[in-house]
Amino acid sequence: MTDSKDQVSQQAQALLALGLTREHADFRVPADEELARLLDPQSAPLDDTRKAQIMDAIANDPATFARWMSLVDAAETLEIGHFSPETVQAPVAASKPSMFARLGAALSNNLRAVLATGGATAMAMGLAIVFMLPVGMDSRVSGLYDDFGQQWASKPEKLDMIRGGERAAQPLSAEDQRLQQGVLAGQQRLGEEFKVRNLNMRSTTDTSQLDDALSESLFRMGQVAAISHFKCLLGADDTYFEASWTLINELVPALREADDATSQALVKAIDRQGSAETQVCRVAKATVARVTQ
Amino acid sequence: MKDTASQQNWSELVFAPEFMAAINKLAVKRFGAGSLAEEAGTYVIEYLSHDDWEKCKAYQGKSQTNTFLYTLSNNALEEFSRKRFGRPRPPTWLQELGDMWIKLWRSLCLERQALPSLVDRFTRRGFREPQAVEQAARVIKARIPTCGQSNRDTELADDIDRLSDVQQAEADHCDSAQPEFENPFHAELLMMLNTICDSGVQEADFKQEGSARFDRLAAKQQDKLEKLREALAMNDQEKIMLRMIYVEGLSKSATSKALGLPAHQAGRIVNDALSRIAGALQQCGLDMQSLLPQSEYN
Repeated sequence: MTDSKDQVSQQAQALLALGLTREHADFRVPADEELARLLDPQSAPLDDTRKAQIMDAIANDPATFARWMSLVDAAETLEIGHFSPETVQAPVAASKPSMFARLGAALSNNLRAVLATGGATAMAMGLAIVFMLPVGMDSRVSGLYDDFGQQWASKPEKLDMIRGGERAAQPLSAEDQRLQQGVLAGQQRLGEEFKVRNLNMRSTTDTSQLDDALSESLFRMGQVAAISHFKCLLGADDTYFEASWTLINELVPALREADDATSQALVKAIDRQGSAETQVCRVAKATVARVTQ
Repeated sequence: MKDTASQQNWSELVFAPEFMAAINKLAVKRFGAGSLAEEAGTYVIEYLSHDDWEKCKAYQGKSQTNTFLYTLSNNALEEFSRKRFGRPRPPTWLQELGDMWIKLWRSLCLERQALPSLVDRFTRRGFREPQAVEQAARVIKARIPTCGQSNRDTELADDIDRLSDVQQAEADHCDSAQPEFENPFHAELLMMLNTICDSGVQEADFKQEGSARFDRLAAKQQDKLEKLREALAMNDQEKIMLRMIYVEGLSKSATSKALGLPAHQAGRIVNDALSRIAGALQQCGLDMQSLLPQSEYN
């Protein structure tokens, strides 16, 4: 494939993914000053909760994205803010708030209703879904990977030797299928060298009928379980386990309300006692065991 | 604690030589060098100083004073454009695509600026990829056949408010092609996907006959596309970066800069996201060839 074809392919994949995942939620539209603050390293940083809300609005609200891009354009023209020749970009680790800061900010918000539709206003005709999720869970699960996905106590050459549980081949339930999608997304996020053995997507059970809150919680649980699976096998410090345990607990309410076998099994594993490490590893093991065949 | 609005000497800040130069720079970037940019620069000063600096006094101290003034100036330039060339809202499909598309539409279709100079201005210092701007212009012109067609000599008008109303009425007729689809969400998405990736895009692609194939394609792939939507997982940062790079046409290093990250970071994050998107496509039994029958991809 030529470079040009690669570019077209990448552009097409990006456009398709953006089009399909467009959400229309109720945004607290950021003021121009707040948007400008994101571009200016000399301004006092926004608090984590507000920053997450603004990123949410830029990512999902076309009008806010257009305003943001207009400011980026102006900043580049005037060579100010991050575009100033004097600005030295900070290393990633230093530029991001700590995991605890993000978790603390999120805990103060807890739950909100998010109205999301499956497409852009011009395009979407229906497909409205309402679901309850902790604020910024998407970005915080992602933050778990950003903060800890590159740090490993040991890294064997063949991580695909690490395996999940054994299970007789059989179609997955819709709940397990959704859990598996989360584990697969997490595994892909970690990189090619990380493979949960026997994790495949042969099952094609329809997950569209799942309750939206449950579907999202199972998917995020799968993502947390994927990285935890390897952290538990390779070793990690307490910071990781405490952060993961907090996220897992935020996903529990939707699971408790469900009466399917998957949710009940996960709740049962979560309710058992132990240190953060023991609990996280127990939940990761239970999750991976359910979705490997 | 930042200084509040009442403590600022707005006149001194705005009329400082550095700020005047910045306004000029923004106006030239927006309208090209010439009398229009000068007029726009004057409008910005009037906008800022109007009613005893009323707009400046809205400053809440949430950013640096100069940053706030640049933001206001940027808004003033857009207001100038609306008053000078009319207030029509861009078509909805175009609004969904973002700022570069809206500005390009306004510059090409309402302000009738020449494409080569626009490409030059939009891509200065490697900020954007020229192909992205050229392709966006092709799509806009193909989908809005009346783009830039007007006999009115806007330069002769001396009452920009009065003119804007006249132009508004005129521009209301400049509608873009809007095919009627049975499966509007997926068909519109596939049509735009194809046209944005196809350098041979033309007006016929957006007519009812030409676009009907996307309805058929959408119907055929609907189940898989729905599965793909469920399988896709992207965080806000990834969505913003993908949109900045693949819709707005920004370079990866400019994207990193805008978000305050090291230069290579956007590339790494975007590659990671693309790899997961490719995995999700595979998982759902979809390949881009079946979705992009028209593009150079094949």
